[in-house]
Amino acid sequence: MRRPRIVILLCVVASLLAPLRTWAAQVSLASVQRAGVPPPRARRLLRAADRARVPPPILRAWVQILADLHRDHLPTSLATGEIFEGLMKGIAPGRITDAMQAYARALQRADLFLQSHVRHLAPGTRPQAQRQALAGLVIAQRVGLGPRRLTQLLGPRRLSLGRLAAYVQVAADLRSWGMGRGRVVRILRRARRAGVPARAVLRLDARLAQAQARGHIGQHLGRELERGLGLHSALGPAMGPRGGLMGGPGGGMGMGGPGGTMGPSAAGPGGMGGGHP
Amino acid sequence: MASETDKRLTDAALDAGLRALAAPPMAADFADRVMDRIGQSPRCAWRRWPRRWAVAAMVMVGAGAALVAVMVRPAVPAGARLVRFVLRRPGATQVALAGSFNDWGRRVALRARGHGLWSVRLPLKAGRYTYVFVVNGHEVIPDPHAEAYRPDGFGGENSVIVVNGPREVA
Repeated sequence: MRRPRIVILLCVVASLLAPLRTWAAQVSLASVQRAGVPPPRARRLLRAADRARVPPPILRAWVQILADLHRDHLPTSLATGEIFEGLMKGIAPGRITDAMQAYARALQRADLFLQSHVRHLAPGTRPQAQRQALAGLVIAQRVGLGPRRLTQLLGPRRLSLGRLAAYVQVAADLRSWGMGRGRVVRILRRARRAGVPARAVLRLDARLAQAQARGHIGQHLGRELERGLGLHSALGPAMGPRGGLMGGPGGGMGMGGPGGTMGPSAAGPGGMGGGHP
Repeated sequence: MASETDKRLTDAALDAGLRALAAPPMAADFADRVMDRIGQSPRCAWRRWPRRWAVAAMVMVGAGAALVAVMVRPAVPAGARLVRFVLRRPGATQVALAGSFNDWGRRVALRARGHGLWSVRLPLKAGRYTYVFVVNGHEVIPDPHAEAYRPDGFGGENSVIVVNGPREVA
């Protein structure tokens, strides 16, 4: 008499637990790999989804979005990164789906923009630099710098991938520090027209970032940026002997090294948020 | 039958009693031979050292160990550098770090440094990373002193850190 009761109890428990185990199992590893996700990453994705109890329809929707990106020769690693980030932050799976759909749309727009504004873009291949440029363009869209604004900033001529990525990155940084879209576009467009190299723009961006982290700029951001780019000079951008902006180690146009307005000493190692060379 | 007695012994009686005890048989040169043996036996090495030298040596060894502990840094992979992440959060019971440096994988726990300060040092290679702090296991916040911020696509913000500065681009 006792044994049937135990069997019934076990069956009930098993029937309750079965859906939990089969949530993620309904989406196979092979289907995730077919969506262009490498095997280790695909396994990690399924494990993370299983741990977060992501319902199978939502997981299938994620895989479908990844497959669409893969079909369009867009990098799936950026989108899977979004999933991992969302799961890590405890975002509800449904919201992750919405974010992924928005991300996929932004990625497609970024790809179109890249193809029309960059020289020598190898079709079908996504090297690391290209992937980073795409990610930067997606971020730029999130901070309100869509293709139209970026076209105003970068001009109609095709640029090298590195130059485009550098200007887009700096534009996104400036937006995150509270500078208006129009002003970002105006200042960086002037810098581009003046021939300021991408290397110099990035170096200035890094110095501004350090100073910003320590609260040393605030409302003077635009002025410091223009001074650093040499845009206040009557002679145009102050170019150093190697094509870079004056203002490296030894001082120069306000954004100098030791002795300048904000040198590396202003944000040495150990600052809040991390050290910087 | 008890052997003790309540009878009080005088000092003289006690002395007389002790003298009456038979002395053990002993050679006349016994004491000389014992003293010779003691003189010939090798002394322990540590006993030969004056004590103050031993103390000085121990102090030097301790100082050397402390110096090594200070000088030797944690192992950092080639091409990486240690970056310190700091958050001031009084009242927090645990703080962790999550970010793109490990593809939003495992959280890295910060150590309490007292006065509400939490910190951790991570070896990171050159590049740009986005990260957030996770307070008490569920509250996700960006670094209030980050170099820059990025919308995360979920309605929040990620902090940005640049390690080793901008890379050379064409």
